[in-house]
Amino acid sequence: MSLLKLDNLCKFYGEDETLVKAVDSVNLTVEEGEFIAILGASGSGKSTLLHMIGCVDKPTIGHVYLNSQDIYALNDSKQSKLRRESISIVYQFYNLIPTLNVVENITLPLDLSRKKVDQEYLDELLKLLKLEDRKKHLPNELSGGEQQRVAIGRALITRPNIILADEPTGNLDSKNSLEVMNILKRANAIYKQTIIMVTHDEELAKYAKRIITMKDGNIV
Amino acid sequence: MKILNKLTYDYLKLNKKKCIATLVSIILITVLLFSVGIFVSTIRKTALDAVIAEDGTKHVLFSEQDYSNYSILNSDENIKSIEITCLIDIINDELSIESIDDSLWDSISISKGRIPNNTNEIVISSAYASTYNLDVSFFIGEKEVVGIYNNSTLKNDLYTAFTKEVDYNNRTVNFYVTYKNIFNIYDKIYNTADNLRLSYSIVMGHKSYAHTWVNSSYLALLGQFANNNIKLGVYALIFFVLFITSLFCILIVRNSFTINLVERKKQFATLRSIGASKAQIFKMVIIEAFMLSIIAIPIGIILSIIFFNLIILVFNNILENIIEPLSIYYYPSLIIISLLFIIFTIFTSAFVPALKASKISPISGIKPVYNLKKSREKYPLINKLFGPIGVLAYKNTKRNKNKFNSSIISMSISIILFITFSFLINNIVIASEDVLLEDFDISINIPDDSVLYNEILSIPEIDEVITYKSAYLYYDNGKFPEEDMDSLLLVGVDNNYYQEHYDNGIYVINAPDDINEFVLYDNEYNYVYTVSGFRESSDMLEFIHINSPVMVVDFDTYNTILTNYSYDYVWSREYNIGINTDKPEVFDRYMEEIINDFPELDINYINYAYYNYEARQILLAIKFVCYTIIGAIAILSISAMFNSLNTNIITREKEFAMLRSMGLSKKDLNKLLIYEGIFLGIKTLIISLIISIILIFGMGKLIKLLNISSLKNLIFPTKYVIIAIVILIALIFLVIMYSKNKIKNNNIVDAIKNENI
Repeated sequence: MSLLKLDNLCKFYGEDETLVKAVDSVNLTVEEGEFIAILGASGSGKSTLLHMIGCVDKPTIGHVYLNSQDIYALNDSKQSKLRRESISIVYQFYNLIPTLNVVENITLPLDLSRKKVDQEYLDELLKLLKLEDRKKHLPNELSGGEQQRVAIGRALITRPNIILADEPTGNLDSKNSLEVMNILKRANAIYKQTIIMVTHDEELAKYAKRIITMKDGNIV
Repeated sequence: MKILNKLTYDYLKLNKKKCIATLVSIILITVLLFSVGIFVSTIRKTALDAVIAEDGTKHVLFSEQDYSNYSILNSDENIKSIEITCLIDIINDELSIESIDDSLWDSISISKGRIPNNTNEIVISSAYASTYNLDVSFFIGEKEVVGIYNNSTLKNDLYTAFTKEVDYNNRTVNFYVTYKNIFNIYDKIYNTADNLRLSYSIVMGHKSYAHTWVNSSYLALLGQFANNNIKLGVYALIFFVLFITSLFCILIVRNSFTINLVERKKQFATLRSIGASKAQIFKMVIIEAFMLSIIAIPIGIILSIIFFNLIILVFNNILENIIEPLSIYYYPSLIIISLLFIIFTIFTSAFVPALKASKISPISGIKPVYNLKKSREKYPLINKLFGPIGVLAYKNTKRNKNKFNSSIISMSISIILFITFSFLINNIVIASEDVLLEDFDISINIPDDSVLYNEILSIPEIDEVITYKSAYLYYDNGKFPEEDMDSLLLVGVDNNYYQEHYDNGIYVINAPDDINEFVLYDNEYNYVYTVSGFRESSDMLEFIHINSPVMVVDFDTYNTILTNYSYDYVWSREYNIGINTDKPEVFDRYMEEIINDFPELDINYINYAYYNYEARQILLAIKFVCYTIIGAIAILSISAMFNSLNTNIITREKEFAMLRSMGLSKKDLNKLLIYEGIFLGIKTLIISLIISIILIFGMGKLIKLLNISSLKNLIFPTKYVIIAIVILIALIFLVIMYSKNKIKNNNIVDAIKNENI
C-alpha cells in the first residue's frame, strides 16, 4: 500500500477566458521513505501541487489520499490534526513565530496537540540541525540558514508521514543551502522520513532519490 | 493551550502601543457602561427614597369602605396585607381623630413623645402643634396629646391626629392594601376594586376608580404603569437607549480587536498551516480579550467611580442649599448587571474578529490571497472633479469594500449616537426650562382698577410688562354653543401687545381636535362672532398653562364680551400683571407701599425671583449632567472614529509603499488619502444623517406615546448635526495628517518587506 496517492489532481483559477490551469490532472504515487524532488520552472504549478498535498489548498478536481484516506473529505478539525501530526511543511520564508525561541518554535506542533516532548528526540534533532547552542535564541537573532534549520526541526519533531519542502533553500546562500539539503538527506536516511521537495534548481534536485519534472501544470 | 496563551501574552507585551488602542476602547466603554449603572442606581435610589418618604410602600388605598368589605379583601388571594384606618371623631370641627392599626405606626414618624396606648391618647402633627402652640401632655377636648409626628406616609392632612386601633365593626374605614406580587399589579387592583363594586371612569387612557388611591409613583419606580402606552414608551426608550449604546460599544471594541488581528493574519495562517485548529485560533483571540479585560475593566471602574463622584460633587455644589446633597448609591444588582453587560459587550466584540481569525486559511500565510472586486468602470464625473488620483481613491473605496465599510459603519454609529442622544437630552433640557422657570419674575394679580394699575406700572425697575385679564364664562347645561363644553376661559391681552403679536382676529387655543369652527353668541344666543383660527398655546400665549379651550382677544373685545354677551355666570375674574426685571429684590419694598396705599383692594403679589434663582440652579445642574453625558459620548465617538480611520490607513502601509515605489509622489499620496477621506466622509454623512432622522422621528413618536405635555414640541438638534459634521470633517483630516506623517517616515523597502507576522 502506497503512502500517498494523487488522483487526477487539478487546481484552476479564474473562469472562462481568464481560466488558468495551475495544476492539470496530476496522478502520482509516493511510497514510504521516498525522497522526491519536484523540479520545474517558475509557474509550472509545483508549489500549488505541494500545497494541495499539504492540506492547505483545496484542489478544484481530484483527490489526495494519505494512507488511503482522502484528506479533503475530512472535516476541519481532522485536517488540522493531519497538519499537526502527519504532514509538515517547510517554507521558503521559514514562517517562524517571532516571539518564540528556537526550542519553542520546534515543539510548537506538539504543544498544539498537547503532546509531551520526547526530550531525547529533541536533543538528537538539535544536534542534527546544529542548533544546540541556539536553543534560547529568538528567530531575529538567527541567520537565514539557522532559521530554516529551525523550520526543518519543527517539521521533523512530530515524526510526520511526509515532509513537504517548498523551495527550502530559495532564500539562502550556497553554503547554507548545502547544509539544509544535507540535513534533509540525513533525515531521510536516518529516520526513513518521506520528503517531497519543490525546487527549480537541478543541482539541488539531485539530492533526491526520485525527480519529477513539471511543466504547465503537468508531470512530464 | 499553554503555548497559545504564551503567544497571546507575548504579542500583547511586544505590541504595547498597538494594544493601547484596544485597552483605551475597553476602558472607555467600561467607564460609559459602569457610569450608566451607577447613574441609574443613584437616580433610582434617590427617587425611591423620596417616593417612599412621601407615599410609603402600601400599594393602594380603598377609602371610605364599609368594614364588612374586609372579608372581600381577605379572600383575595393576590393580597398580602390589609391595614386599616378609621375616622372615629372630629374635634373642634377641624381635628380628625383617626384610629389606625398597630402595624401602621411604622408609617408615622413621631418626633416627640410616644405612641398612644388607648383611644383617649392622640398624636398630632407638628404643623398643628405649632399653629396652636400645643405640646405633649396638652389636652384637646378630652384627648391627651402624647406625641407629635412630623411626617406620615398615610393619606391624611395636617389636621389629623392618630390614636390606637378600635373595633372597626359597623364603621366606615380605609383599607391600605399591599399585594403579594407587583407583576401586573394594576390588573389586580382593578380586580379588587371591581370586587368592592367601585365605579370607575377612564382618565388619560386608564381606569380611575372612585375611593381608590394608587401609589403610582412607587409602582412606576418598580416598573409598573397603569397606562400601557406609557409602559410601552418607557420600555421602548430604555430598550432603544440600551440597544444603541451596546451596539456602539461593541463596534468600538470590535474595531480595536480587528486592528490587532489584521496585523497578525500571517501569524494565524502559519499556526493554521502547522496544525492549529480553528477552535484554537478562536480561543487565542478570546484569551486576548480576557487578558485585556483584566487590565482594562478595573481601570475603567475606578475611572468611572472618580468621574461619577466628580459629577455628583459639581452637581451638589450647584444645588447647595436647594436640595439635599445627592449621594452615590451602588445597587448591588444594578452594579452586577452593568459588570455583566460590560463583559458581555467585550466578548461579543471579540467574537466576530475571533471567528474571522479562526477562518483564516492556512494558504493565506504562504501566498497572498487577493479578494478584490474587479471594476471596469471609469467614473468620468470623479475623473473630471478630482482627476486620476481621485479615480484611484474612489476605486480603492469600492474595491476594499470590507475595510471601508467597517470604517463607515463605526463612524456612522458614532454620529447617530451623538445626534440621537443630543436630540433626547436637548429636548429634556428645553422641557425642564419650560417646566421649572416661571414666565415672569414678578406676578401681580389685582382687581380691575386703573388707579392701582397705573401705580404699579410706575415702579421704575420694570423692564417688560404684559397685562392680561381672564374670566371663566359658565353656561348652564346644554346652553353652550359647542357640544360637550360648559365653560370657556376668556383671556384679554392688552391692546398694544395683542396687535403686536397677533393680527386683529379672535383666536381659540387648545380647541378640541374635532372643532373647526367656533362661534360666540349674543345674549339671545344668536350667532355673532366666528373665530379667526385655532392655535397651539405655545405660539399664542406662553403664560397660559391650561389645557382646556381658551379664547384670546384684546382688552376692548374682552370688555365687550363680558358686558354685552350671554353666559350664565362668570367665575374667577382676574387682572394679571406679569413683570420682568433685572432687580426683582427691590419690588418687595415698592409693592409693600402700594399694598398699604390700597388697603381695601385684594392684591395678590408673588415675587418669583428666588424661586427662579433656584429653578435656574436646578436647570444648570440638569444641563451640567446632560452635557457631560453628551461630552462623554462625543469623546467616545471621536476615539472610535479615530481608531477606525487610523486602522484603515496604517494597515495599508505596504500598499502605500508599493504605490510610492511605483513613482507616486508624496503630494499625490496625500491627495489620494484626502480624496479617500472625502468619499468616506460623504458616504458616512449620508448614511448617518438618514438613519438619525429616521430614529429621531421614531423617538418623537415614542415620546408622543408617553404623553408628556412638556415634551410636546420636540426640537430637531440642528446645532448638534452641524457639530457632528464639523467633527467628522476635522477628524478625517486630522487622521490623514497623523497617519500621513507616520507613513512618510517609513522606508519604502522596509514597508514592502514587512510581513506583519
